Amino acid sequence: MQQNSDPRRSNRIVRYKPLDPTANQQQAVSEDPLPEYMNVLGMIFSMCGLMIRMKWCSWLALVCSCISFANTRTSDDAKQIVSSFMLSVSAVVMSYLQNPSPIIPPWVTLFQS
Amino acid sequence: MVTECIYSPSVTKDDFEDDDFGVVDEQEEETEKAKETETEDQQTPVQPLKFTDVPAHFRSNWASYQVEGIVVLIILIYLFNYIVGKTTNATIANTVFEMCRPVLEEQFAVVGDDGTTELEKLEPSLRRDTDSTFSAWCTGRVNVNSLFIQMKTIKRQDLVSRVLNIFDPTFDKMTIKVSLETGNDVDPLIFAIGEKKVASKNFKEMLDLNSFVSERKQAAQQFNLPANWQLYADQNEVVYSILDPGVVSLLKRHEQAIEFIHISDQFTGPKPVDGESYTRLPEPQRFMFVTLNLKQLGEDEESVTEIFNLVFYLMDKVKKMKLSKDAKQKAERRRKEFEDAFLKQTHQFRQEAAQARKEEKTRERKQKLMDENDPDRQKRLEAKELKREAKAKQPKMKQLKVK
Repeated sequence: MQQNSDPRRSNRIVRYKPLDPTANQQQAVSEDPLPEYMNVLGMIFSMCGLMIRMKWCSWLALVCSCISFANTRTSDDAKQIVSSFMLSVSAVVMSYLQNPSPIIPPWVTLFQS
Repeated sequence: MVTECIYSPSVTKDDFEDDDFGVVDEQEEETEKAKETETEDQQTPVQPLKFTDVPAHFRSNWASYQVEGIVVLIILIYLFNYIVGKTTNATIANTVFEMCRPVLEEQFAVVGDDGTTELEKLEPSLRRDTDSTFSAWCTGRVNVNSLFIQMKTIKRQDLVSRVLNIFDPTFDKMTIKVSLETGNDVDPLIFAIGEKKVASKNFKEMLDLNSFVSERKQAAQQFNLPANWQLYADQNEVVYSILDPGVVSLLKRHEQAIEFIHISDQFTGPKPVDGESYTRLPEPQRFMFVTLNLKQLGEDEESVTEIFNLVFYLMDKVKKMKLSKDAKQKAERRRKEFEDAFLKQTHQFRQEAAQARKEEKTRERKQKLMDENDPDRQKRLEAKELKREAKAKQPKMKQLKVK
């Protein structure tokens, strides 16, 4: 399998064309849907945290944003990730502004009972 | 003066009447009030003072924010894992690429093209697509349009994926996608070999493998291939042409590193999902895919060089391969049959699509006629339309040639 002649040909160069992210979105989603799920969950938890004033929902929204960030597929997702982070942080801040008391840990109620 | 009347003891009651001055007897008022309060006290008991539960400030009461502390700790651990995992993935990918770079630079005029930088200024480098995916584009070689290396590592940067990986393990992989040169002198072939799980999955999913090839168990036994490997081809002659003794010995030696090799002149991607079908058959292309286990590959540089030399050897061999006349005719006949079957299956769809297009054109013409303002032009268009409809209504006659 030794090749003595130089196989390189500078006249046969085909330049790289990055894959169009919008065209391959569906395929990418079907292969790995985790970032989409985390985005949607993050939004739902943020809304619950803001409207129903459930602090643990706000914190979960922040965790979902972090997971979505770690699984970012392309650089185009940066705006979505930033907005998701902002929404979850605002949910946490608003929850504590309205009611600064801490979340009652479940083990406290268990010990009391 | 009135004040004196009220407070001075010398004024007698006979001189002035109390009602004239609105004088109220204070003693009588006090006794009445005392009586009222006594009755009120008897009716309602004294209520104790209630203290509103105002939470203590965070700075003085941080110990009670236990749940918040735990969540913040989880987020910090996650972010720490993200940094460590991202760095590990990049290290693995770059280490393997550095092993491949010398052999790639020998074979290709351009290594690591990003599509934008000028070729003179281009340095061979690995491109980071995501935190777990890296790629390199190589081009400028005989028999090949391009060679695209994609390294997909485990998502070490995501803690959730790491936990899921414990239950469903995946491995770091390298996929080499070679776009082979086409031409009239190139013979048709479809060939696939690899680890059983990967090979059978591809056999079910890829349209070209599913449509043209069958498993060649006898040939696999003849070549003494590893027991957990499967061999597929459209014809036995293709198998004997490709699997010469040198190729077989390399495949066996690097059995752990090589997962799957797929060479095809009819590559059109995966099969459409159940329930969907192509309205038009996609253009088949000539591709070679090689999937490698990155961990096994990166063990030493010698293995990397040998495996890549095998890939280049196969690229050249496939271009030069000449099938016998019968085999070539058989291959071309099979491809024609597949195309005819597809056309037959989609005939109805294409007919409906053509009918819809025709109706759309008629509708547009009529709309144009309605929108026309000039009466002469409108009459001309109307006459044209009537003539067309009359022609369409006439029975279609076939002309028979009289010999």
